[in-house]
Amino acid sequence: MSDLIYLAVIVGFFALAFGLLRACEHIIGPDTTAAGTPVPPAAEPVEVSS
Amino acid sequence: MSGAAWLQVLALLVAVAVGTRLLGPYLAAVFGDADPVDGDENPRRAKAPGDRFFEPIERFIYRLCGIDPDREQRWTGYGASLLAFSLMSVLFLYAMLRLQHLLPMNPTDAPAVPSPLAFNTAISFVTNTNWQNYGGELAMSHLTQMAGLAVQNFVSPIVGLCVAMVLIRSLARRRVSVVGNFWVDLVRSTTRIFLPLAIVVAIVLMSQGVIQNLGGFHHVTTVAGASQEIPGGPVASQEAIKQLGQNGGGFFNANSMHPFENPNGFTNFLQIFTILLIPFALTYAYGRMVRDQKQGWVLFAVMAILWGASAALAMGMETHGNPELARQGANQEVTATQSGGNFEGKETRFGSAGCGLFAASTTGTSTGAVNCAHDSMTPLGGMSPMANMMLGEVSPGGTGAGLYGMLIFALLSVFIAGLMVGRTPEYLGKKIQAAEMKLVVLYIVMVPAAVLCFAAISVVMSSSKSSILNPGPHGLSEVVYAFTSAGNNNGSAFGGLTGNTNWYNTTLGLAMLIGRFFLIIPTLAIAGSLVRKQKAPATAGTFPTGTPLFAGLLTGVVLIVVGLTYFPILSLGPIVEQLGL
Repeated sequence: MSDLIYLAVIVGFFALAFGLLRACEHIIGPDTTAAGTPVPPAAEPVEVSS
Repeated sequence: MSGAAWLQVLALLVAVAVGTRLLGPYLAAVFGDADPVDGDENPRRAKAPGDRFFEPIERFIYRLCGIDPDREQRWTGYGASLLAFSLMSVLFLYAMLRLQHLLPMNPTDAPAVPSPLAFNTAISFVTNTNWQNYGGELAMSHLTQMAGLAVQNFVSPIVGLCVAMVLIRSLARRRVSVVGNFWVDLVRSTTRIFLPLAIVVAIVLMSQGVIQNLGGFHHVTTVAGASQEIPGGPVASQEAIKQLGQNGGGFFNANSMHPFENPNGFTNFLQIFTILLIPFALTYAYGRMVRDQKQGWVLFAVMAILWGASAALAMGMETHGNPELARQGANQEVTATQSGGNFEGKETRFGSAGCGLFAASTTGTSTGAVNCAHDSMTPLGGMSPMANMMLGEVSPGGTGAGLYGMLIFALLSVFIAGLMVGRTPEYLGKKIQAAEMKLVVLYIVMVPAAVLCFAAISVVMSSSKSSILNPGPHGLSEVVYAFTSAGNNNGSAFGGLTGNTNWYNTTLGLAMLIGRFFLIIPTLAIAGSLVRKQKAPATAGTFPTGTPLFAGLLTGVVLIVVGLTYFPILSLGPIVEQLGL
């Protein structure tokens, strides 16, 4: 019985880890990068006057 | 400290610097791209020394396992492969531990490992922690040691190395979505780095007296006429990868204090060197792969400063001795017949300074091997390894884990610097934005939350309090050390705490899982975000990250973040204990 509990804990943790992977994917947003797609150069840093 | 101790430190520094310079370029060649990758979803791999020898072996493994070595993965695919591999590893090792009494190569008739201990041990070795709630020579069969634990000693550090390589590639590549192929990285790390190094180190260790056999217990009669059983086993092969992969799990319960694991001063020096070699060499590989060597040297310097400070504290406190013993009139000076200092829990052949140096190296690198009893160190001497682990294993950290941990702190540092001067933070030309910072915060908060919550519950529950040997601040240190060690995947034990209970086996196991995979996933996500980005050209307003100023800022950020998190608990444990002496 204790084997079943521990195996369930292990599988449950990794299920959570897969869930965290999905959550992190949501945080960084969809991947719009495709091979050969031109991406405009990043803007220069903006000076902030004090 | 004695002249011999200073000489040992100096020789170690030289050896690590030379080793970094020699191994670093090789690591970069094994994992790097041939050309700068800009928008190319099929990057070419760099040529590496030994390709003609290793490639046929690797092609055979790829064919056998159905791996397409030319197909790269996005970070989600890479992460899913890593999690699937780790899940299968835990389940396989758990089954082996539970069934070892039915399997061959069990000359000592080791029984099945109880389920809570099997849970803890399987997780411990898969997460590169190697926390051991058992005595290896009594609890494990030779088959378990070789086909279970030693296999994980190879692949668990490689998982960390793979994650570090993904993060480096994300900084080196531009406007792509792919970060590498987990299965290819796994195979190449094994065949080209860990197996060759482990074979060489094992042979050197055997030449110095570390045993390597398949024998069981040898019954002998001692000089005094008593009867004694001396265990045998494949120790040298396990010892080599134990240190090279920052694993730390000893074949024997006494770990690197045992003369069959660590027979003399030279093997002690070699073990410290092998512990430090790959984590420091990875900083050079990092500089080479991002094509800016100064970036690598900055990380090397910060890691070396943190490691050196920790070693100085531990060695200084241990060689200074115990003030209470000094008041009782005990001689703790270095003399011709004693190595001096606080000698409780020390091995005569290594001395107090050797203990401090080993402790700083083993806890700074997520190794967790010990050559002295950390529980017997002076309070501040014992705080040194604990604080080392609280840094998050970045001084210089485990294989790969140290480097990606330090890179996470680097991202936080440029963000803080950006806030101070009012500029959009950049690291190596990649803009650090809200998504990356959310993931950095997730990374930094996860382990302290697990460590402090589990420790807090353990010191109020009567069942878990009964496992604590010493009362007062030292008892608190025992509990906090255990969860810090597990949560940061170090594995060293302070001692004193009876960890082989249902509560500690389960909660320490959970802390190890959280400390490993809940950090790897945000790291991979950060890599997935960075790899898509264009590199902004450096301008007059760009904060340079390859300078001593940035090294100072990074060191300060690491110390402040960790200090704010853990100082209260350190005050209640080792600091108040030292003040009470």
